Amino acid sequence: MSQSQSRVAAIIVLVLGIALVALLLGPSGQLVSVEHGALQLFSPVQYALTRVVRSLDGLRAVIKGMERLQRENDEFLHQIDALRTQVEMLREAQIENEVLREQLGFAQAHVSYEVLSAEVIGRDPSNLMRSLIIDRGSEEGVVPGMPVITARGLVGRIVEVHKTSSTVLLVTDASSSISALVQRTRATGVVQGRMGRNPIMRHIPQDEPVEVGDVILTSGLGGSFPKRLVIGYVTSVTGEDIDLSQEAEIRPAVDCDSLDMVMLLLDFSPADFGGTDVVP
Amino acid sequence: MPHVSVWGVKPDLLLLVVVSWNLLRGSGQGILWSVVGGLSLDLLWGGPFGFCTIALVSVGFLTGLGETNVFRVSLVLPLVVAALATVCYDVILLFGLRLVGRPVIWADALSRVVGPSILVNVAVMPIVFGAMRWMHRFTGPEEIGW
Repeated sequence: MSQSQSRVAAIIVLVLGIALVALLLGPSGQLVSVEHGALQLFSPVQYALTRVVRSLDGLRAVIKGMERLQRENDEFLHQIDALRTQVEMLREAQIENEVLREQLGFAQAHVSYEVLSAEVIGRDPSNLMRSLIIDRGSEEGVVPGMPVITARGLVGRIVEVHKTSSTVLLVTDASSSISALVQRTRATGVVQGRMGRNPIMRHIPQDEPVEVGDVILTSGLGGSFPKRLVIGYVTSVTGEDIDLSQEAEIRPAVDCDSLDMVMLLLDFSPADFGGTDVVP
Repeated sequence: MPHVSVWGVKPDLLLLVVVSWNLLRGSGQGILWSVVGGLSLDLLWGGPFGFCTIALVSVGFLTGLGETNVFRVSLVLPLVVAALATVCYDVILLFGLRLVGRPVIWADALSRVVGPSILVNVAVMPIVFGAMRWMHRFTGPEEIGW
């Protein structure tokens, strides 16, 4: 037997001996003080070890929690993106809903008119003309001279028609001329567009009162437009007493620069229209 | 750019692009841009077809006659050219409108449309000319620096 082997054997014998003694003396309570002493000796170490193990457990829990939080965070970010897209779509739907409600309200208030909705797809690129391009053409029954309106009032009229699109000359264009009347006093005149300025109502009899804020409607005279469509509102009145007639600057009822949708009056045939023919 | 308007007028971006390119490359190359740009405008505008093309080609040709290296480094002359080109372009269009019987009140047109257009175009020209100059360097032969 080598020296190391004999050393191991000795240790085993010693441990067995101590165990045998503890086994014999333990039930009688004679080893209680020894047990207490041993506990007191090893409890700080045990306490320290326990704290270390608890810290490690806590660290592991923190790491797991961070992973979970990261996953949840990523999910929430995806959800936020999806919700943002939905919000924008709902906003667009709301705007379209309001526009269509306005148009429906107008159509219901004017049941004699057959209206066709159209979307604005282009605007005149120059600063010298005021016109729009809409997505309705001869295929949908559009003809030159047809009035174009929104629920707020008159926009203009069709001047050029293609198969699937048409050009609308706005009331603010310099070549636009509309027979009109003042709603309050029924004074008649002609609303003409002007370059770079609001339209003006001319040839109003001098003895007819016109005030700022008066509503200007189409009179229907001449047959170019139906009656009682709102053209705009008076912003200023000019004319000396010695003049035969007075003039009033009109703010259009419809802001044509921000138009997205318009309506066409399908069942109104203008009396005489010198516009261009339908372009095949 | 219908939603970008100052004093009721929009910048004539296509006009400024044509003017810039003609200044940088001369009438030879600029004529193509003028024709293509003019035809595009003619399809959209409500006036007589062809006048936008005539106006842009005329402006482009006159502008291209002054093509020289001076324009490429100084910004003052392109601004002056932009102002003159705006007047020339709008006057040709107004003549076109008058020719087809549309009412044109010259005082209103010049004071309310052409005048503000000049100011707006001159204000926007540095941006447009800068972009076109970059494209000219990107696509053209290298210039010898002094």
